[in-house]
Amino acid sequence: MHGLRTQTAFALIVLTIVLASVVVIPANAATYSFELKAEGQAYDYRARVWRSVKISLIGTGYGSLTWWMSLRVISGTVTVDDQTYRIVGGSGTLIQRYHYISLYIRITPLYGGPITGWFMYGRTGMYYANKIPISLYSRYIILPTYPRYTILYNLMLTGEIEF
Amino acid sequence: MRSPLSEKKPLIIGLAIAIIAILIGTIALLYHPYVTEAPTQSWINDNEGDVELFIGEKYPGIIDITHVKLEVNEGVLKLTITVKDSVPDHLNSGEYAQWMATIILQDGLFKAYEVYMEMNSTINQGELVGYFREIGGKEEPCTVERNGKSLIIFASLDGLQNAREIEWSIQTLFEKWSDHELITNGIDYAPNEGFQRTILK
Repeated sequence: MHGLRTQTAFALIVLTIVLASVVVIPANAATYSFELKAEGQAYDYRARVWRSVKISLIGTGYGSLTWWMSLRVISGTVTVDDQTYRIVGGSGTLIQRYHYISLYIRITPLYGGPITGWFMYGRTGMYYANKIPISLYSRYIILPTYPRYTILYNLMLTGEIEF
Repeated sequence: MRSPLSEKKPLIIGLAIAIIAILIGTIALLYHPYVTEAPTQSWINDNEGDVELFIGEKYPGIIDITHVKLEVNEGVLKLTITVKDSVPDHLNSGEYAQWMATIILQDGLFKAYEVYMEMNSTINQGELVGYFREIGGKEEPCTVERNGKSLIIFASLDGLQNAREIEWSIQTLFEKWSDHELITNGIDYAPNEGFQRTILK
């Protein structure tokens, strides 16, 4: 009986230490692979029409899903109406503690050519089932079109990141 | 024959240790005892000429970062951003320049800020101004200084005194507009990928 109580006390101590470790270190940094998909529209002032915009990309994130992580974009595609561009890199920051995301991507025509950069930022929703809903916004985006670049304004996208 | 009290003694001791451990853990979490005692400095060196120019033939050297120094003293963040060319007193018509730092305070009270300086030819006569804001929060003005090729900004950030670690990065932006048409657009990042990690003393 006495031995059993001693074991119980010891087990309680171990359990407390384990729980304290979990509380003090809420989320360890780790590397994650992710896929981001979002779609929406942006305004073309030259043609005076809204253009459909879709982004699909993959990358890696280093950090915590509950606090923050830095993102590295590896590759992907951007489709504006029926024109597709290649994403050739980028970076970003996901600060889930603040439900904030910023994303920078470099795009080029599908078969090569000049590169332009898009800087977007937005809000994130709750992390659930390995996914975080996102909305992205940019004042303007630059398309590497020939012979003259096309600038679209007020880009607004919604989608999700899956880890 | 042992008394009931002596039989329960190990259990009582175990429970007492467990309660103390929980209390210590809670206090450690809520009142991080670490305080920045001495000024901390950290640097980023960035290659000259690595601005990404998306539109236009050339960019001004005022966005080409060469060196950034971060200093923390008594809860005040001081950022000195040195660029390739001297920053003029005013920008030309249609020009906009921004130098922005993302600051993440860790291992203490978790906080994230944007600290930035900007010059906008259409506002404030194009003069250099500085702000900081907690992510998603309201911007507040900061003190800024100019010293040749260096721009200096001071920001008193909540949580800085208790933070043990700062992750930070710098981004610059230049735009030139002509009749609502973007004719020059370029950016520079430091460090080029990810964040700089600085452990506070």
